[in-house]
Amino acid sequence: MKLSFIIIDDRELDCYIAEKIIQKTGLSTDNKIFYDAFSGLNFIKNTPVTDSIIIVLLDIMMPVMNGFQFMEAFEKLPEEIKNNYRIVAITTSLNKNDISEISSYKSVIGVLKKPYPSEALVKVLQIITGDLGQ
Amino acid sequence: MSEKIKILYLDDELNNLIGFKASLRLDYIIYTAQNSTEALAYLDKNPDIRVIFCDQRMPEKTGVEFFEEVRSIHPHPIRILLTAYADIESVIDAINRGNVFRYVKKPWLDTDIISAIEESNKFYLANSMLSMKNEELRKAYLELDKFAYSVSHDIRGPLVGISGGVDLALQSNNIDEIKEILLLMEKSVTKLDTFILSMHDYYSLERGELKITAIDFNEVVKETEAIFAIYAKTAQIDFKINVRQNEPFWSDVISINLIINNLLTNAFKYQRKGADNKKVTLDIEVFRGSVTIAVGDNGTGIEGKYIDEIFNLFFRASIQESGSGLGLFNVKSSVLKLNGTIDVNSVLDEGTTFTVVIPHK
Repeated sequence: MKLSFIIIDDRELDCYIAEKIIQKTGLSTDNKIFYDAFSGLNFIKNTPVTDSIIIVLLDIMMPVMNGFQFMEAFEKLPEEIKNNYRIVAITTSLNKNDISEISSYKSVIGVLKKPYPSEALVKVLQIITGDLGQ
Repeated sequence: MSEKIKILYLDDELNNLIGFKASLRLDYIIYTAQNSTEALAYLDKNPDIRVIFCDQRMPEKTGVEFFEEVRSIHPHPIRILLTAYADIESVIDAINRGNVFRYVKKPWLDTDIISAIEESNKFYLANSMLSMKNEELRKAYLELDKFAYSVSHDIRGPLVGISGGVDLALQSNNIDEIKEILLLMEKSVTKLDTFILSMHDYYSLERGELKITAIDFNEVVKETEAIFAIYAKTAQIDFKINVRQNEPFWSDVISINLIINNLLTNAFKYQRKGADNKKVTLDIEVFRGSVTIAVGDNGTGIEGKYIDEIFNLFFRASIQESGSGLGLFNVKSSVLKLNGTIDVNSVLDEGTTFTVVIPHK
């Protein structure tokens, strides 16, 4: 199956790397990059609901709106919008509290620690591809 | 001792109070009270009272009871009990319940009182020094915590990105792609380096001594101009410097440079993309023993809700530009170290002006 991706990360290099890693999985149809969580959230809010699944790679530590604040706002969106998305949190944090806190959000299906190989991403995404009978 | 020590004396006998005040008022500031309500009012109004004398036998409550009460509300003043009846029970009570520092017998000798005051004062100073050191330690721990946390994000973050970039580049055979990756990696390296440089500033500020020399601001801005002129030209920003100094000014040149450079870096950095007539101004005026340094821009401005937080360690209010969260914190530390003040005036999308005033050292 094909998936589309949204990458939210304030670091240009990390977005670039994420994009390459997604390409390597061969799963993607298209990617969108947002360098801040606000714009990412706005995009999600204003995009018409479809029946395809969109994966959000979300960096946890970003200035102004971090991954936790993004998740707080995201979880308040209507169910039909949320159903369109699966969140994969991405972090460089070595802090266990950060990792367990971000995992506690319902829509977060996995956490990846940077640097992560494309195989790790594929493995997290198996939860979805499996769910959908692939 | 430059400042007179403040002393409170509580006794129900007016004659004792008068006698006490008469013999000590030249060397100390004496407050006298005939009942505990009055005494507590003095303590509330004068939190810097250092020593409290109190008579043991009073009609409403004993001296020990008063001290027991006072201890919880005003723990800092040193407590001394005055009594004519030194039975062992009241001594034990005084120590255990009132936590008194000294015990003076009535009728007293002035020399006893004076030596009790001097000893109390030493004890008071040692204690307050200790609590000051404790406060400093608490602050240092807090900052250390923030540092430890930021190491994983601000230092490890770019490194992880760079190592990811290296991986990608090694797997690629496309020279254009490799060059693109290298370019992005270079940005990360610069960011990391800037962060480490500002950490160095932070460290020198926290631990370094001030070196006071005569400062010629015309010389100071010459260096500054050289640093920023190239940047101003390539980014097409109109950069104006204005210095008025007609009197000598003494201060720490490294701190002054740090303040000017950080504020200017921000002014150049937070410009509106694609705006016409971008401007940055640096105005320095030395007047009547103070210098006023104003750095202004017509850039992005700061959102009102963030204004109170911009000087906090590792706080970042912008997603547009990369910041370490150390720059303005360092500026504020330097300004405080030089006993100065810093004000910020900012309107979103119109610009920001920082004004620093530093007195002559």
